[in-house]
Formats: sequence, structure tokens, C-alpha cells
Amino acid sequence: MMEVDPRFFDYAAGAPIHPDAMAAWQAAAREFSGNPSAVHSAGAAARDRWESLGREFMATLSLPDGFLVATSGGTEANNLVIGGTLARHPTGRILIAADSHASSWSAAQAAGSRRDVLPLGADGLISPTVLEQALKPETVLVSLLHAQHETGVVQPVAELAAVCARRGVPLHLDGVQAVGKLPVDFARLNCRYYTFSAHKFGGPRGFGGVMAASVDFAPQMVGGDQQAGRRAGTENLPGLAGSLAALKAAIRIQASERQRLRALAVAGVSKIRAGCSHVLCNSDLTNGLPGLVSLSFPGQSGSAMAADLDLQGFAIGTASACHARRPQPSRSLLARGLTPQIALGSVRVSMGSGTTPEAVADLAAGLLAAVRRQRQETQR
Amino acid sequence: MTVSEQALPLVNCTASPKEDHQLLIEPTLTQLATVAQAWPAAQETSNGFSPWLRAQWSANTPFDRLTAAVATATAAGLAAISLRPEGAHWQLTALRWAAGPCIAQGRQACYRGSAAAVLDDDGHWLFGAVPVCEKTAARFARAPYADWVSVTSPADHGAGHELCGESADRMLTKVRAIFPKALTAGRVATTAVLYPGPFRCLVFADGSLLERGQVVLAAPSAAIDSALARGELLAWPVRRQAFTAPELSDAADTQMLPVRSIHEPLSWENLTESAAIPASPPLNWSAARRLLSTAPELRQQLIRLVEQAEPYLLLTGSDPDAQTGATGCCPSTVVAAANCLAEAGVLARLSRPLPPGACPVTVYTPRGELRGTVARPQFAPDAVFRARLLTELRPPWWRRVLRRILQTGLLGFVVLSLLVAVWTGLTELTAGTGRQIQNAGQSHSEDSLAMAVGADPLCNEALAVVVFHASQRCDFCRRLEMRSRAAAAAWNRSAAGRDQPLVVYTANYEAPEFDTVRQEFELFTATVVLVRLRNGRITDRRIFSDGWALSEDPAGFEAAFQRAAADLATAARATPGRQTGAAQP
Repeated sequence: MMEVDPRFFDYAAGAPIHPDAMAAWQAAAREFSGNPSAVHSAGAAARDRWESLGREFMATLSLPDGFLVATSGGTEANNLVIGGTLARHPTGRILIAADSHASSWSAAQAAGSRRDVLPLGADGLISPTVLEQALKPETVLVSLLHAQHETGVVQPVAELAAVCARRGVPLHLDGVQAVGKLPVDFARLNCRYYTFSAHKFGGPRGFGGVMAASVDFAPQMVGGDQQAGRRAGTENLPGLAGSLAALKAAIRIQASERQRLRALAVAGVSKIRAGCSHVLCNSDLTNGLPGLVSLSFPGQSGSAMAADLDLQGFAIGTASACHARRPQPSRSLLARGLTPQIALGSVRVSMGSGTTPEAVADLAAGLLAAVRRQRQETQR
Repeated sequence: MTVSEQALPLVNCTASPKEDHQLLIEPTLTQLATVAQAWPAAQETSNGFSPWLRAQWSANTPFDRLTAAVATATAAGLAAISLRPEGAHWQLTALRWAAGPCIAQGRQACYRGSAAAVLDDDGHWLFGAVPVCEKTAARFARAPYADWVSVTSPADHGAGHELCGESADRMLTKVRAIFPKALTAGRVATTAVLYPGPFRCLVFADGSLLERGQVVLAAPSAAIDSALARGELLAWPVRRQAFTAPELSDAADTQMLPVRSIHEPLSWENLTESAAIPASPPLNWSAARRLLSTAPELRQQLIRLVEQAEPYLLLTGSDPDAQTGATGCCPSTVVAAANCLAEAGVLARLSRPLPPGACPVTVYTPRGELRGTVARPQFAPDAVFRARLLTELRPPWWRRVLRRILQTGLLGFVVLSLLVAVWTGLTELTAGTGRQIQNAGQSHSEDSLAMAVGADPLCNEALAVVVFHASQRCDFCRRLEMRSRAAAAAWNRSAAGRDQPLVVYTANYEAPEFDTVRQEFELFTATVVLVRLRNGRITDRRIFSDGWALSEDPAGFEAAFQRAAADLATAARATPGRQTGAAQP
């Protein structure tokens, strides 16, 4: 692994590229200069390589007989599945989880009143019973997260998929945070679509895709017959090669990393709790996404804490943004029943292969110092 | 003698400073002095008028540099000097009068501004109608004097007598001697004002002396208020809204003299990673004291910064006074005050880089403590400066002791009042008067909310919308109110709305009377609350949280609003609401 600053705690936003991925990307870019759509032999070689890499990628995730529609990343993949399904079924309804990523949520907005929202429990989990009740005869797609990007909550996808299968409704799982960090066995997931983004698991940026058992969505990008007309645009062969190498590397160390990162997360949260009694942990440190911890400091500003930690040399994520020129609490956290004020005081710490126990201890101390300064600021 | 308001015929225009000028962009004082000293007088130019010298500095230029620029222009012998916001900049305009014979032809000049008297750059002391020579009369007929001075038509008396003599510098020396401490004499001076020119100074009837290009603290008076209203004085700090978009039509006849900026805004966006952090502007304690007196919250935060030995202070939000303030995210008066302190050289600041959607975060330290590079700042606490800062921040010991005594006394009074109230209530209850407290069962927040909607106890059933906003209103909050009003109007036009119409109210959640509402609803930003009332009591209330995300989507906002209103109306029909507990007649 490349030298990664151990004070980088924002792997959920984007992991550093893995050396294997970099090497594979460079090799593919050098070797296959032809356009896979071209008729000449260079194009044919690239096309063959594209197809073999695609099959290998799907086989790695246990989908030997499905389809891979490559995109520019997770956002486009989610837009393709949801927008494409709504385009194919103009009167159908979509059922989407309340904590979905903005890319899915925004794509589903196009459905207008045909969009139904699936509520979460206080633990962030979706109940199969609630899902069953929320399905309507007109529902043409259910869109859920495999692992939540802000809290790391992992949904009971097998049970939820079983409900969808029983009712005959296609299930889309947004697996952007899960791939590479959790075991993903497409054959057992029982979903129709599974979306991913390569740079979340050490692949190159600008590559993602939809894995599908079968495809029933209209293309959202037109102007070419690439990928069987499902997504126009020249195939990103180096991106696929780099992503496959990163995926293999991530899976190789997945089990040990899962254990290590969960232990680090527990240690870090314990230190923070010892110094700050009012902190809330929104993550399931035992069963959630390894190394992803969402913390809320009621009454404080998550973005200010992230800025403070940046001054101390740490990179962490926030769970809020300014929308329409005001601080917008995270929809995902609100969906779990957190109040806006608590949601605004939330930060996301996500660890990865470069994270060390010393850095976690330092981060805990830095976070406590930032909290103390923030509390002084907000005292009146 | 009657003073004519008619301008002199001998000067057929009130020449605008925009005509026939040269423009200096961000000149240093040395550059300004060089240009000013070589500036031509009237007779040296082809059209007989002196060209205007204009110099511009960015709106966030430390004010002491601007003051120094005015002094530089004055020292170079320029006249009619004026320093005002112009376009997006501070602009200094000045010209040089030509030398000429000083012969009276019977004209008189009369100052028409709000002050009692003014002194111009030629040493003319104007109060009431004062005889002036033809040369001076012509000057007063030009901008920028023409706004404040009228000149009479020639009269036959006094013709041929020489009038002008004493220099403005000598006159000003005398005036300063006469009014040494006039500004605060006998009254509390609380109004910080800037006199932007063009006269050397103004003297008000109460003895307040205001010199050009200086910020002074004046005692409030009707004359000061009048001068502020007329634009003769500018309130300090000058609101950044005074700076407008730059004019584009100036460039045609303007000779641009680009020179080095004297003040570069400090931010990560415009500096490279290795760039050193620039030094703070010159220290101006007097300006800082004035600012701190009006920013108690920032003062407390700075006291904690020093006392807790924290390396820096982080503030979130945008400066409402900044040029982007009108549309800036999360406007904060504390940030505005901190920025003013930074401009006064007391604090050093560093802006954070902003990805889209991020709330601005600015780092502040006491002066001189921000080291390293812009990308990797380091903090070097300066104990000596911090100690000095703390003495400025903290009130004197006797005031602290007095405050403590007052606080203790007030607390004692409150406790005593509560005890008396409790005792009285118990006595009445045990006496069995049967009198019930009208709002028993209604929480404090509901009381406050009812107050916000002006709940009428005679109104049987009503729906209302309360748009809560902060004291500092921003674009978002105004948009939220606009959308709510439009959506409520649409609701009222619908069948359901005709049955149960909605009324929109606005309330400042930072007002003390809404403390309980703010705490219960955790109001931290503009928020729409839908309320159902029955007999003047709140029976249901819901935060319209979808409104935040949909504020820029009128159709989506209205649709979500209609759903929320329908839910509330349906709930109103389904549940009878809580009984009021009011006394029956």
C-alpha cells in the first residue's frame, strides 16, 4: 500500500488509490489504445479485454451471468437505475429509503408524487415488515442502501430482498460504501441492481457501475451503442482494469481489516466518550461498516469541528452541508429521528488501511479539544 | 440678507468627479504622494478645469490606510478631497485649485449642510452667508461643494475688496484649539461617524468637531442624525452594502495606473500552498475599542480564548457586511465584528477553503500569532499581546464589582418575588377560591407560540403558519417566508383552505419571549411551523422540515406545504383537541 497519512480519516469520501490499481490502470492505458467500438484490430483487442475484465469483475462479486453497465461513478450509476426505471415505467411508483444517498434521492424526485419514502427505525435499520407494508401494486422499484454512507449502518439486505422477491418488485441496492469492505455475494443478495463506485475501495476515480441480474431501465446517456446501448460513451478500459485490481486487493485483506478497523473504532469512541459525556454515537460499531463512526455533539457545529481538526492536521467528514445558503442537517440523520440541532453537530470519521492506533488516539484528543473550543464559542 | 439658492452663472456646470480624471488603482501612499504632488492645477489644463485625481482601494482596505491617504492628498495641497464608497471600492477624489486673484464682486457663499460651520481647503470658514471672491464662488459652484453650498448673485457692496487670506492649516489649528474636547463634553459619545469630505472639517452647534477622513465618536444629536440622513456623514463602520457593483463605463476616458495592491485579501483560494501568511494591518486600538463596545458576544469569546490559552478561535458563518453578505451563507454578526477587529489589526484571520455547500469557517488569532504558510498555518501565542488584549477586553475592576453587586441584588429580588408569589398562590388555593389559572395545562412554549400567532381566545378553530427567523435575516429566510406566504395563499384558494384558512405570521425566534419555543423546537435557523389553534390555545404544531430543502423549488415547496397543511387540517377534524381549562362564565 502507498504511504497514506494516518491522520486521514475520510475514507468513506474517497480512499487513496491502491498501488495494484494504479499499476493496472497504467498498464491498460498503455497497452489498449484502441477504442473498443472501433472495427480495427486495436479496437478489437480493447473490446476483448473490456469484456473479459467485465466478466472477471462480476465473477469476483459472484455474478457470473449478469450484466455490468460501467459508468463514471456511483452517482451516475444510481441515476441510471432510478431514472432509467422511471423512464421505462412512467406510471410506476418508486419506494426509496429515507436515508438514501443524494444521487438516488434526487433521481427519485423526478417521480414527484409517485415517490414513496421508506422510514427508518431509530437504529437506522429498515424493518422488513415496514417494507412489506410500504409496497404498493404500482411500485416498480425499491431503492435501498446496502451500507449507509454517514452512519455505516448495514441493512439486513437478505431479509429485505426476500420481501421484494416475494412481491415481485425489483430491488436496487446502493453498494457504494459496501463493496470492498463487506462481503458482497451478488448471487445471495437476491437484488436486481447493485451499484458501486471504484474510488471508495481504492480504485481510480471516475469509474463505477451497475451490476444487474437483468436490465429493465432506459439509458440515461445516449448517443452511442456502447455497452449494448445501455450507456453511451467510450468504455473506460483503464478504469475497469484499475477497479478490478483494487477490488481484488480489498477482498484479499477484507476479513483482517474488518476486525482491525472495528477494534480501532471502538477504541477511538471509548476515548472520546471518556472525555465528553454528551457525545452520541450513531454507528453500530459491532455490525456496521468497519471503521466508520458517526458522532453527534448536540448544540455544536460539525463543520466547525471538521475545520478545527483540519487545522490540527486531521481530515474527517461532516454530516451536513449548506443548502440554499443555510446549514442543512443531514437527511439521513434526521430520518433516524435525530433533531436538526443534533444532526448539525455531527461528524463522520472513517478509517482505512492507513489508519493506525496512534493516529486514532491523536484524533480522539484533537476532537475533544475541538469540542471544548466549540463549547466555549457557543457559551453565552 | 437673503441667500439665493441659484448657482453661479459663470460656471455652467457642476462638474462631476467622473469627468476628466485619472484613476489610481490601489496605490501605495508613496505612489499617491508622488502623483498628488505633480498634479496639475486648473490653468495648466486645456479646458480650464483641474482634472480630478481618483484613487481606489478595495472595500476591505484597513481604514487607517485610507485616513493616511486623505492626509497625503491634503499635504500635497490638493483640495475638495472626498473619501466615499464608490462602486465596489473606497474612492478618494481630489483636485488642485488654480492660483488666481482674490477679488470680491459682491457674491456670498452660504453653507447649507447640517453642521454649524465648515472650513474649506482655502481657509474659508463658512457659517451663514460669507462674502467670497469670484474664484472661490466658482469653486463652490462645482461638485462636490455644490451639494452643500449656495452662492448669491453679485451685489454692488464690497466689490473690489480682497477677501481671502488665512490658510486652512492655520484656521484649523485655531479651531482645534477652540474645540479641544468638544466631542464628548458633558455627554456620552456613542455615535461613530466618518466625515468623508470635501471640507477640511465640520463643526456642529454642540461643539463637535469632525475632521475629513477621520472616524470619530460623537455625541448623538439631531444635527448628527440629519447629517447621517443626508449623506454628509457616514455611519461607522460603513456598511458593506454601501459598496455597489463597479461601474463599467468609466474606463473610456480614464488613464489606468495599475499599481501594487496595498492590501491583499487573505484566503486559501488566492494564495499558493507555500505562500507565507501576510502581516496584519497596522494596529488601531481606538477603532478596536469602539468595535468591542458594540460586540459583547465576541468580547466574551475573546476573553475565553485568552483565559483558556486556546490557540485560535473558529467562527462559522459569513460576514453580513461583506460584499457577498446579501447572499452569503449563515450571516453572523459575530463574524462581522471579528472581521472589523481584524481590519483594525487586533486579530489575524484566515479564511477556510469552501467546497460547494460548505458553511464559511474563519480562523482568528490575536495579532501576530498566525505563522507558517497559508496551507499549513501555525500558531505562536504571544503572551505579551494577549495580556494587553485582555486588559482591553475586560471591563475595569470597579465595573466588575458593581456588576456583581447588581447581579446579586437582582437575584435576591427574583428569589424573594418567587417566594412571595408561591406563598400567595398557596394561600389562594387553600382558601378555595375556585379560580383556575386560565392557561393551566398549556406549556410555556405553547404560550409563546400562541403569542406569535396572536391567538384569539374567541376564535373557535384556526390554522396558522409561523415563519421563525433570526434577528439577522438572510436570503434563505426571506425566501422561506415568501414561499410560505405563496403556499398559504394557494391553500386558502383550495376547497380545504376555504374551510380552514391559513394565516401566516413571522416571529424572531431570538427574541427573549420566544426562548421556550426556540429551545423546544431547537430552532437554529429560519423555520416554518404549522400550528393548529382552538379557542386561542395551541392544540397541534409541526415543523415543516421539507421547506428547508425545497426553498429553491417553488412547485415542490408548495406541493409539500399543501400536504402538510392537509395533514394538519385532517388531524384537526379527527381529534377534538385539548380542552382549554378556561374558566366558564
